[in-house]
Amino acid sequence: MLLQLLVNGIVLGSIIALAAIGLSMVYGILKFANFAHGDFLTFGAYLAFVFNVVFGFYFILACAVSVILTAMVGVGCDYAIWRPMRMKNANRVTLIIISIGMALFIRNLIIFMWGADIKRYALPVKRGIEFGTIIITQNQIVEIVVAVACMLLVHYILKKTFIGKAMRALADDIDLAKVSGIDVDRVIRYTWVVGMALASVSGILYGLLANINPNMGWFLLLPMFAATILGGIGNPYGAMAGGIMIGLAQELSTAILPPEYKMAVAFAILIIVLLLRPQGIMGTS
Amino acid sequence: MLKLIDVVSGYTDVDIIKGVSIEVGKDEIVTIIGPNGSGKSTLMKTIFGLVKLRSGKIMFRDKDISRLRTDRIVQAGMGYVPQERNVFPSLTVLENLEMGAFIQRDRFEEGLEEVFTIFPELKNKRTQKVGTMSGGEQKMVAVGRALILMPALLLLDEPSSGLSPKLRDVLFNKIVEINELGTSLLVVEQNAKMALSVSHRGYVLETGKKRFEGEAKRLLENEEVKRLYLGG
Repeated sequence: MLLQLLVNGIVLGSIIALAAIGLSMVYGILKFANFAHGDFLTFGAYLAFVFNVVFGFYFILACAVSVILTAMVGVGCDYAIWRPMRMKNANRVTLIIISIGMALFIRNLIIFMWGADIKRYALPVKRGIEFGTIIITQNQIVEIVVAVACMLLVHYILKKTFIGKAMRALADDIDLAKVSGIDVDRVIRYTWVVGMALASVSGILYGLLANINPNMGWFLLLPMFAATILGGIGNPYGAMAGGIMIGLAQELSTAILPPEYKMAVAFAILIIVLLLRPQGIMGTS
Repeated sequence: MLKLIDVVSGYTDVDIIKGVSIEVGKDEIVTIIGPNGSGKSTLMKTIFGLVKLRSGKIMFRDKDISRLRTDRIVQAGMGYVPQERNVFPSLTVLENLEMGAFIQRDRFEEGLEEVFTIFPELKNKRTQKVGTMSGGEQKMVAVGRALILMPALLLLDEPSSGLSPKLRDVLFNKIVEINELGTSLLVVEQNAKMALSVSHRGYVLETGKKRFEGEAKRLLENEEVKRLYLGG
């Protein structure tokens, strides 16, 4: 029983972690909480659904198209909205309000286009694999493998590629980055690409785990914020660890508490950690 | 090399720099001294496109850079070390230096050799996180980052701030060394005597206006400059 919850927790946690990486990176560089992040996750899940179910693409191909398109929309939003706002030196409250508006717009656009009912990908139902007392579905295995692969890729980008190092430099000090001759706008666009692509992957995985509905990302937004804060805002590695912790806490809590309290448990842990370590697990004070 | 003509600049609607003309020649070290709030740092930020130029003109290597974006100014061959927050603390030494070469990555290796020649101390610490280093070492990283593309002109804002007297001596020796390798320098310095002693020429700035200018030696001997700005 507990082992089963552990597995479920890791699966949910890694999905939250993927989404939280983008949220945290954008916060680290642009210094605002992007409330639209959850709805971009939904958007990614729906794009994959449209290409998979409506257009009849192979699932993998539909996912790839979704990831690319979601990333492109992220870059498009930067050109259309975030960059002009930066040039006007808009303060973060303005940016947060814009992101809330964007979140509502995306969600309602999805309902308008594809309705409010629950959707599923066109995939055969497969029997779970039994390991002693626990059952792991093939989807769960795929989810963990994909999530780990994405995290390793993010690690590679941040530590080994030039643009990834520049992302970390921007998170450290954007003014110094400008002074060093870094094309800040370009690095920000790449940050959106990474964040939005991960949001799309996370949305697709969550769609596989549960189902696809217009509120899926919005409901995941709070655990995502919790993961981001828990790990230390702006630190992508912290977001990964925080995501796994929140996922585990939510699932394990159901062993002793009714499932309605899942979210409350996640936040209780967040509060306790922040009391002991206000900068988050991996944040610097 | 660098020529400022009647530069007026400032924040929002307050002019901090009120019509300043200065010049830095090839292979020169030029120091700007002046009391706190005289606009020294603002002048540097104006040159580097970080503070809005209201009127006047900034020429660099015979090109008008008055309204150029900061990264284009770097590309044109100028480097700048701000007074504070001049390193990326969570990045390693090597990564900090790499960021200085963002716009011309093919010149990184070459520049790295030059930086390690000037600051051999950094060579063994290249994988250390800069945030964990001492103030003196961080200063070397900061200057190294700005030097990596071997700029024709380097702007240093209060390079000696926060350094012990001993490290200060070391730093000013490095400044001379950098200059001898073919980079002109424009230095803003609180520690006026010391900066002037290694400079070719100097300017005295007060309340956004130029008060004195001349050869560094002359400024150091000028009675009025001594009394007002060099502490007697």
